[in-house]
Amino acid sequence: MKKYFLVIISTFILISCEREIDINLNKSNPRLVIEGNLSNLAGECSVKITKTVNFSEIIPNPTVSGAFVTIISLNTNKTDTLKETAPGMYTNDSLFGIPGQTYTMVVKTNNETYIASSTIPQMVDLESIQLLDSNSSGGSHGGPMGGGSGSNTIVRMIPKYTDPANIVNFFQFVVTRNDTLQKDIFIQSDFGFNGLVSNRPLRVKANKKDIVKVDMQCIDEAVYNYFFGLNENINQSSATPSNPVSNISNNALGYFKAHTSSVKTIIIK
Amino acid sequence: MVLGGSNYYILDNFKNIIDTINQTSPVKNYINIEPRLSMNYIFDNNNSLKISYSRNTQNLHLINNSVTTSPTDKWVMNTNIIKPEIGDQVSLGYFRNFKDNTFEFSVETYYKWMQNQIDYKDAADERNRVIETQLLYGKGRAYGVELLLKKNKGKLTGWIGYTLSRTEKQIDGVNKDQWYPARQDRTHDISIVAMYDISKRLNVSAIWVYQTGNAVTFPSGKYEIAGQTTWLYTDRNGYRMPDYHRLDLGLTYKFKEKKHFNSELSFSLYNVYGRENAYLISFEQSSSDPSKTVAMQTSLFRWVPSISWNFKF
Repeated sequence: MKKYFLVIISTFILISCEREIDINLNKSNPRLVIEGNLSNLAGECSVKITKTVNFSEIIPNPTVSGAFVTIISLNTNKTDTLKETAPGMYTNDSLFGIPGQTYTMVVKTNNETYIASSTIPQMVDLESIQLLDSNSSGGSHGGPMGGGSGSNTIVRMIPKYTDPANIVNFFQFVVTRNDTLQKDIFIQSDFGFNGLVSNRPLRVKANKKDIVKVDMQCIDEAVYNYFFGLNENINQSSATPSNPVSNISNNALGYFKAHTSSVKTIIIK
Repeated sequence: MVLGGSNYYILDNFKNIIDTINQTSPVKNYINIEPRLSMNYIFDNNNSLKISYSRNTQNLHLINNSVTTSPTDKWVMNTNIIKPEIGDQVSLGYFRNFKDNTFEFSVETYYKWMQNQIDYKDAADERNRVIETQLLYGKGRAYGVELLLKKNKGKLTGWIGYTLSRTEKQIDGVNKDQWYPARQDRTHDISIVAMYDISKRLNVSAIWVYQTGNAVTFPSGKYEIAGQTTWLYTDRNGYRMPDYHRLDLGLTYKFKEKKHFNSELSFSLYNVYGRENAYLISFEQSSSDPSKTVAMQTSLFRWVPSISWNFKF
């Protein structure tokens, strides 16, 4: 019987190399980007309008001035107008929403109308913030803009709240550190702990003696899904990259978020 | 047949899990026949024509993602929700031999209709435990023409092959319900293989391949939202990875044959001209100008030399 033997000596030059390349990306028509916020607290109502730019252009992208922006309460039919207080930034300091009610944002610009509706869920209070630990080996929450400045430790903290058992709840935690709004997107749904006290921590970049403010916002499902998709888009982590699904009509990007607000502040030890 | 014993799910129209099935009896049966028909018409010794039809079903499914940052694929079996993929293909081919069978030439064209095609929904999470919640289903089509010229005799042998093809999917909920290229859609595919006997013992070979890059999704623009740079996407798989090509060379020496032992030594070099074929492409902030964004390409091995010694006894 014949036998076959094979000897292979192979020298793999296992160098992976990374370099900048030119990709001919299509020019895209500018699309409107709307970031609308309405809180149950006065002074938080704002709508920011910008336009997308081509890949090779610079950020920040241009603002859109001269739009007509209103917010209508579907329960009372009352219409409030927002004023442009900075280029592309429309606000109304006396306007606030009521939990359980639905609001519609209407933006008119360039002969186009963009409409979005959002419901403020029932109020859930942020009871306290429990500091767990801090370690410097936290993963980067990078995305296109990188992981922020300086050497930061990751602090784990649990926002303590009691989830209402009767409904499905969605939450967003907006974190401010020493008066600087943090870019990280923290969202939670009550899937798996409906009706219980939350014990899921946030991983916040902070150092000792920092003052960290956590604004717990109850949001509706569409807004939750938007921020879930936005997070995937920024981290390039989805299997199929796409624009986060917006609750705004007429092919606009962005969101209209009507939410509750419950704030607690801690000093990192 | 989808056997029981593990978890199967019932989903609503929004892909939320509304029920879980866990039974030991079979969950679902799929029965498909695979008819095949093939006809050959032989004009003479050198010319022939071939027509065929076949239906194939596939019960193991490859799900490609559309990103360039981690080219991972997933294989899944049929479930109560994922149905067998069915393909119907027709093809027509013409075959001709020249110069006393020294050369062979063929041209074949095909068209394939596919049912129960699978792709991820927009913004899918491929790490999701219940993959069915991330999938959408539709149809597919593939068509193309293949040309092949082969030399079988003489000191120089080898072939030149060229394929022009298109593979597309149409799935409601993806790419505004329009047809779009499948990830593995390759417009051009060329391969040239040549072997030359320098002497009785020494033989050299060369292979050159060229392929259009995979269809992938790249951003077409960007904007800032919630203080972060966000990508603007337009079409699913609307872009291409850079073209793939490389040349490999080989040299084989046959040692003198002995009664119970003969052996040969081969040297080869993969990717002779060190083409940096793209493995990953990601988009990041430029280090020199943070307001700009750049595309970064990662390629794996460039040159791979190897030596092998084959022996028989």
